Amino acid sequence: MLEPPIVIVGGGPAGATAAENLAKKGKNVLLIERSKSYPYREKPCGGGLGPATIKLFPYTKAMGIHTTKKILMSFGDDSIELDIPIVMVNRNEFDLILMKRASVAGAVLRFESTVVTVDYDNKKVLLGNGEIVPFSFLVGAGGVRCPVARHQNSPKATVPLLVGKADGGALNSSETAEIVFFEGFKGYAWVFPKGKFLDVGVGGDATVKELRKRLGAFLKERKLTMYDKTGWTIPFEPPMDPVSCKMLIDSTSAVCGDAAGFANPATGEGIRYAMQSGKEVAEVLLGTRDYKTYPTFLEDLVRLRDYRERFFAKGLKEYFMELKKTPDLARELAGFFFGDRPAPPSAPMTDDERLKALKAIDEKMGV
Amino acid sequence: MELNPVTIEKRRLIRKIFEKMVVLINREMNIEEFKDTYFPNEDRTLELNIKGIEDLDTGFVFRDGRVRTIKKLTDKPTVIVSMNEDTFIRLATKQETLGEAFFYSHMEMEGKDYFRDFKLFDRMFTKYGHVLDKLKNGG
Repeated sequence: MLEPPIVIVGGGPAGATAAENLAKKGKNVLLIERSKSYPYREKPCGGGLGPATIKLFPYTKAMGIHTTKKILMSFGDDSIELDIPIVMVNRNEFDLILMKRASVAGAVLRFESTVVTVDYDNKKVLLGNGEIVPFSFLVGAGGVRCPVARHQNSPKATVPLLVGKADGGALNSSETAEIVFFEGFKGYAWVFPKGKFLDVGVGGDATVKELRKRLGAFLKERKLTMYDKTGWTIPFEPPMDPVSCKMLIDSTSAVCGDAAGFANPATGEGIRYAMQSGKEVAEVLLGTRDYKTYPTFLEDLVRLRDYRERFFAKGLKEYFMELKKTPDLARELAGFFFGDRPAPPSAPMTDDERLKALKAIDEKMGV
Repeated sequence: MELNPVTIEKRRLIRKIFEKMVVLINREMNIEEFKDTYFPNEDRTLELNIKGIEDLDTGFVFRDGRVRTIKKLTDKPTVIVSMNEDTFIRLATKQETLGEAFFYSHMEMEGKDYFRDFKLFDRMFTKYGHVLDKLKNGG
């Protein structure tokens, strides 16, 4: 008798990447997606891939519809320009291509299906049409409202975002992506050129009503008219407490992407962590990764979250003005947010090693 | 509390390194230009604390374009930078940049406008390499 499939709930970047990596190694995979296959749903999202995403998943570069060369971070009349390229994607096309990659690898895709409930003891999911599907392992990758994440009580903290399109004329094909900060607002607005239109949005720690007001004022100031406006919520805090971390993966199920709370807490970037977590879950199931190392980037997310809090605690204006005066430091710090800098060594030295190192420094100073 | 011989030797070496740093900073770095760029109208006092040996004299006073002292500062310094011995060693041997130490919380900075002081430390330790080149090339 055939073993039941690995069931993946959600066909976004996390689920599709997990499905592709599992299927191409011969695993029996069933991916359940609630959207129609055509027209595929548009995920409310800035849709920008930073250098780290391109480095980790080089094939995504060809999926861009426009590439910007710089990021302009602005606050009031001040701004800092950073040489960071962003590959812009249309989320409906991008997600569908990832799903097609999973399908070509051998995963079975089932559109217009929803999971109503999960029976973990008997390893079965109940679908919206009443069908009961057995699974050998369950992957929750259905965003912050994923039913698997709900069962596993994750993620906890989310923030809303509002996003839409606008016609910026010549700005549509600008080589500069803009991020705009506001005093007293833990979040930002963005204007991402996507070739034929601008992707405009605002997200942060505020109510939807407050966001609407802020977005309205921002659009008015920029003389932009938004269309295709929509909203969503994204993770704001990575899983940090031991209970939440333990719930990320066990012998029956795992959560990844937004469903697990994996988004960059400083920039809101979620695609990179979604794809990386999908790939790592697949590696655990394929036996090439110890489940205890899943996900590899959790410490980085916690550090980014701490950095975000320091940033806002110091006062946005003061921080911004200081960074403006020290642009090379701003560039270096931005590298941590958008790039993929490995952590420096941090293992403690022994007293003998310290003594030896200090003697060497003293001798070499030669004063 | 009686200190063990290793701790005594480490303290002696760190103190000596700080003394040499002051000489090198004044000799090798263009503090005047730095001051004109970042602190045209003010003098700065910086204290670099090595955790566990905070009592050691490791204060810098940047005044009139020179580093004046490394005595413990009696007034509240403009900026206080704290790190452990390992971070100090890694910064001085270019295994870690100040940006990394700051981002990864291997050091803490307190005070107003500390990014500009951070620049000064950055220049001292790594970015412009004047002091470090001395370390690497044996002076």
